Amino acid sequence: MSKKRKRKLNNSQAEVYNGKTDLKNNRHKPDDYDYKNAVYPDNSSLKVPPEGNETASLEGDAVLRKIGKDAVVGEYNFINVAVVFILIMIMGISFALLRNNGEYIENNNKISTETVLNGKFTKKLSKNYMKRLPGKQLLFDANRVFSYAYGLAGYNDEKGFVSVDTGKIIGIKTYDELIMVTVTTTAPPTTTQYTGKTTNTTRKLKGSVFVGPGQLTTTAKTKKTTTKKTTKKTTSATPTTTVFKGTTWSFRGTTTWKTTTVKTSAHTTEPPTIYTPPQATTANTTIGFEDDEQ
Amino acid sequence: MLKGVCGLLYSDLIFIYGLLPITVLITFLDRSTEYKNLILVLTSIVFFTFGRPMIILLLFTTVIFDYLFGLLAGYGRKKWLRNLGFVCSIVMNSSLYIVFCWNSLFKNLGIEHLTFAKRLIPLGIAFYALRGISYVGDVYKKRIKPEKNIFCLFTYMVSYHFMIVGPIVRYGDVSEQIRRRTITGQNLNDGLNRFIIGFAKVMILGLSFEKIKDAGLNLNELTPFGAWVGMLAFIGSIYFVLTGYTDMALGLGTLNGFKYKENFSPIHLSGYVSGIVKGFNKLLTEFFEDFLVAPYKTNKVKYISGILLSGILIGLWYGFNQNFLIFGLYFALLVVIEKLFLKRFLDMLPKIVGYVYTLFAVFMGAAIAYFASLQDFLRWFKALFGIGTDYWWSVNMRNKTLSYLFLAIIGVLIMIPKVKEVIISNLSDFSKKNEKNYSVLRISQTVGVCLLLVMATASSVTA
Repeated sequence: MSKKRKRKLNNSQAEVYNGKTDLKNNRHKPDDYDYKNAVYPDNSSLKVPPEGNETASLEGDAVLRKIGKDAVVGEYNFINVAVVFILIMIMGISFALLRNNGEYIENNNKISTETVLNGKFTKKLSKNYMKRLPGKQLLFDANRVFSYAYGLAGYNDEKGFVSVDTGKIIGIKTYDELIMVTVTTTAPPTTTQYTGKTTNTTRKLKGSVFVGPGQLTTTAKTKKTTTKKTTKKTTSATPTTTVFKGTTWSFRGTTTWKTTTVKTSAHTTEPPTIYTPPQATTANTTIGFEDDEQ
Repeated sequence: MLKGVCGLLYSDLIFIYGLLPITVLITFLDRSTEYKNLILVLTSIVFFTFGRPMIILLLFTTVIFDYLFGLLAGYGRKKWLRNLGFVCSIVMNSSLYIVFCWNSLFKNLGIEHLTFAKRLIPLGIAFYALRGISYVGDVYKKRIKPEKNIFCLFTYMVSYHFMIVGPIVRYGDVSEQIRRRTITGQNLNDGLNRFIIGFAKVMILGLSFEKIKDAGLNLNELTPFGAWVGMLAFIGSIYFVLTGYTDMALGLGTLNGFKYKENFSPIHLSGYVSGIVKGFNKLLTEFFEDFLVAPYKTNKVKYISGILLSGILIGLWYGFNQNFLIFGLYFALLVVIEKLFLKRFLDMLPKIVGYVYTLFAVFMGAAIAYFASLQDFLRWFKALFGIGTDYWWSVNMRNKTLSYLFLAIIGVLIMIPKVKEVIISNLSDFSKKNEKNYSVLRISQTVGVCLLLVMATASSVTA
């Protein structure tokens, strides 16, 4: 035991031994005390009174209660730390392991001196980590459930699409559903694969363009539907510019959405599914589902 | 990861679920402080260099130079040598800050050889640049002795949890803790809780306010409701992002056995704008006050000039732009006016007048920081009173406000110190009644913290 520690211990124990409360008045020599039988730790500031003294025994009770309380606090601290840390570890391990083994590194992220030094390795590692989180859908769903508690509207991503035709909010609620509504299967015509008839048709986009009063919007109205033997699409559109003079902010205007129906007789492979987003026609118009990311 | 910023953020999931638990586990393998410091430095190097490892050379170089400047400023035999040490530190650190954070400035000025091809900001450069100045400055002012052990200084300069805590943790406050500290169960408990609460503040409350702000301050659809609520939401988002990151940093520090000063005081409107300026990011304000204001308290002109200069520098530290310069100057001017006569005048009036003045002053200050151009600011200002707008609110704004209404209310309640005090004292009384109540409270706390962690993670993934 170091000299300093011994002296400290002796001081505190001497205080207990004499039953004195003030350390400064303690004239008991530290060396006289048998520190080998010391009960309390050297850094203890607890003052334990001698037996037979009533007030002192009350103090003793208080001390014991304090010790008991400290133990309870320590216990709950331990439970809290253990539970939270275990949760972090479980999530951390599942985020790291519940996927194809080694995908972080092997798939598209080669580890080499060059990639490490130029930072590409860690950058891709970080990107892959976020991209391939397991249970991402679960977290999305969890967030959606939590969002019920966040506000009155119920959905984080709700769009206030006011229908031009009905004047009511269109029932498109979430980002995912919006995508599902708007994605249309389009077969891209290619000269090698398709030799049959190609019909170009145009229909209205369900979610229309959001404009404010006084803003310009261009409406592309497709008049013609052509049927050709070639695979190139021909759509003649007549753009007209109008000024919206509505009384409320609303989604207005029609944006043409080009879909191609292929009637083919000679292709051998299934045409790929490609999502063709509608083009915003003026600077002031924004397509609804992009609005959330502003 | 922020675009162009090299390094991890506290809120990155790869940090929370990867680096952090590993670090905590490794730290407990040995009790010695030297070992803990070593782990801290190694972790910090990984933290900072994630995405650009060569940045570490910059870190090493600045630490070595700050070490040398510190020795010069402390032990220089002649005054001009001590001055030189301090000036060199200011020049080196502020140059680093400008070259890396505001590199676009050189492109605009046509200084090609200082222009980077890609945006490159070493994470926390603003913080450790200022920390370097603060260390050498404190040595120069003889508040602390120059550090002879470069490893201690290195621990101080590069420790990742010093990053957003202050921003300036003064070396004098932590030098003892760097040399000797212990990690107790209480530390772990408090640190984890605080870290998770900070994470939730950033990812849940900060993001919610940000979405309301984006909808309200969209210049294409400005409405009076959007202009008012959007700007209030901007203040809320800034408050929760800053305090959230600070809580995370303080939590990380506590996990490592450090104890730092608080950076944000509760907002009390009774102190007017001066009170808010002092309490918001107060370690930064204190730093500038120590160097530029406090020494000149006897001379009124120098004192006022010091306050104005501090305001400008703080504004520029937040952003090297004209609007941040005006932002800093605006608050500094208000502080000066309050010190000269306004405070005495407001004290004579009913309290509500002072509160309204303070709120409106902060509101306008936030708008100055938000809008980059005067035209946009004026458009927004007119929209506040319905000038130039035909409608009260947009559908998007209404929906966003309703979507995050409960969170916004919770956020506002958290910002009011009186509410916080009442809740804490009630909970404290409840827990003191008997052991059962205490148990209920502690278990609820654990469940709440776990829930916050999951919610914040879900919010982070979907954000």
